Amino acid sequence: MAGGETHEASLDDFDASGDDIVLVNEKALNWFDVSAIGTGEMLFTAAWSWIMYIGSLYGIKWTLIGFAEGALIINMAWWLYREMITAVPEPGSIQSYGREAGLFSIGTTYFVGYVPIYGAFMWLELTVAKGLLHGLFPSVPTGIWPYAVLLPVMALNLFGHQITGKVQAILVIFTLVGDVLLGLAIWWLMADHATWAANWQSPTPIDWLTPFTVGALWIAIMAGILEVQQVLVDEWSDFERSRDIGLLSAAWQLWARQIPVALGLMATLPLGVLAAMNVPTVEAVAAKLGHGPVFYLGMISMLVATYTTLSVFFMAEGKVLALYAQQGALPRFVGQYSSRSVPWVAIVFMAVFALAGVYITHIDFIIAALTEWSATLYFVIAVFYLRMKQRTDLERPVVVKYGVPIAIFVALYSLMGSVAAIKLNWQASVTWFAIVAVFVLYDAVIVPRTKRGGFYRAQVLRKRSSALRL
Amino acid sequence: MQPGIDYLPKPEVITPDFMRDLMDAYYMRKWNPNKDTVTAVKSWRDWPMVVRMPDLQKDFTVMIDNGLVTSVAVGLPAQPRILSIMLAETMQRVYYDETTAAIETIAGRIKIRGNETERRRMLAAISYLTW
Repeated sequence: MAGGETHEASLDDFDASGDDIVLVNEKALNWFDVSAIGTGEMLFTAAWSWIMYIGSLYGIKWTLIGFAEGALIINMAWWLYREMITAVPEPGSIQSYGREAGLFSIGTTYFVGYVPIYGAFMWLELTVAKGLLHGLFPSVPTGIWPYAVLLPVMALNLFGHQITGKVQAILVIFTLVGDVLLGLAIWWLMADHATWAANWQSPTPIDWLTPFTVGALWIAIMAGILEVQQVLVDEWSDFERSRDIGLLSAAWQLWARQIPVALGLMATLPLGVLAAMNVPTVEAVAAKLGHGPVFYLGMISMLVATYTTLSVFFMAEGKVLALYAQQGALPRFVGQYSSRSVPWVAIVFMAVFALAGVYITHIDFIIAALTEWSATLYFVIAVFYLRMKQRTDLERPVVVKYGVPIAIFVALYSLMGSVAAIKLNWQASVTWFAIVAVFVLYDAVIVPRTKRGGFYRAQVLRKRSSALRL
Repeated sequence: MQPGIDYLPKPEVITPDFMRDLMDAYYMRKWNPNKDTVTAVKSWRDWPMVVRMPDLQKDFTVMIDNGLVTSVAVGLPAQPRILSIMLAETMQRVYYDETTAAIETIAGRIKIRGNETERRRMLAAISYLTW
């Protein structure tokens, strides 16, 4: 046969995982790539406006408390994921966990829901980018900017120049260095004690729900950090390091750059002024230092951040949307791949979705709805963990210590976060609950009754017949 | 099973030779006539793909040239490009049209390794192997 002689692997060295087979030019994602993809997802420029929004409502002290709560919950979620992702090492992530927990449609809803959720974050991102670029080029019509920012990123993805983990890693390193320098500049040249002290206390009344409100608001911009890497889990090399170090270090990379800059900014101007800025990292620098080197450093960092976030949006969520079409739940053409192996219909659809949101002006409503999403997300994760724990036939190569009490804590905390989000804006919470209900009903009732969807459902729910999860 | 298709009869004992024949028949019936699938991996010139079946403890080499499957053989090639791991049981279900390669890949029962770009091409090719 062409391509050389074949030989048989002996039974002694037969490795069911295939790790013994060396493939030509294989470049699997290492733990740092995994981490960089996660960080890249959450490097969104709008996050700074979001943090200043929290600060403007609750002051520096409660913003810090909320951050500590959010970091704790993310670390706990990672702890639970260590066991779940090892028991079900599939790229379906939360959909697969939902399947094993006997709650397939809820898992599917939250999994495929990442597409509109991430899209909604892109609404904020594009709105912020529009404001930023308009400030720089006031004579250019504002409406052009969202298109000028998004379309080149979309085009690159369509051309097959997907920002893979390798490229993402370079960009993330750039922004990490850029933000550390920016943080130093802000603390050194702009921050002062008097402003810090004036911004310390909450300008709004504090009650028993405040700890959960600030936590929920923080988790909303932290939640995606663990999620997107899992869509690419079958591309990881060195699974243990990617799972244990890559997943979590994404979060700490993000926070290491966010917190020093955010706190520095809060010591520069009144929080109300910062909250009114589109991109506080750039506009505060401009207000204090003018258009000097620090301004351009911040500017480039923010533009790269917007680019990486949009690119991960197309790269990861395009696959998710195409996947749902391949599962028979959406028209077949949505799952169409181009000759460059890109789910181009899904990407174009997502681009339209992201651009449509630029015309929505109810930013506070979107923030509240996303906060409800993140609170309920971790409730769902914790419930999945607990239900998977009840399965006696599911092999768990890794069993984490104190998994059950941690999951119960996460579930209860998330419930309180959900209540806090309802109090923040009940219409936004109800909107999110309605979206979930419609999605679950569609997936549970309608999809299985279609020819393609029914066939898929019957096969995917078929019991696994080996310890390899094959 | 679909009517009008002359499937290979299932033997009592699944042997590597039977699986080789089964895969050969599958690729000729499903892969090669599918224009989208072939186009997705058209850049592959004389590329060996390994199919590992842990339950059978056997490897198979599927040669792909210009997107078309040219041969299936038992054993490993010298320089494999892509690795697919699945149970022989899964391959039989796919062959007998009880499920599809696309579904089994999505469900995680077919695992694929390889260069990132080529792996995505492979996933795209498989996504057309539906019904």
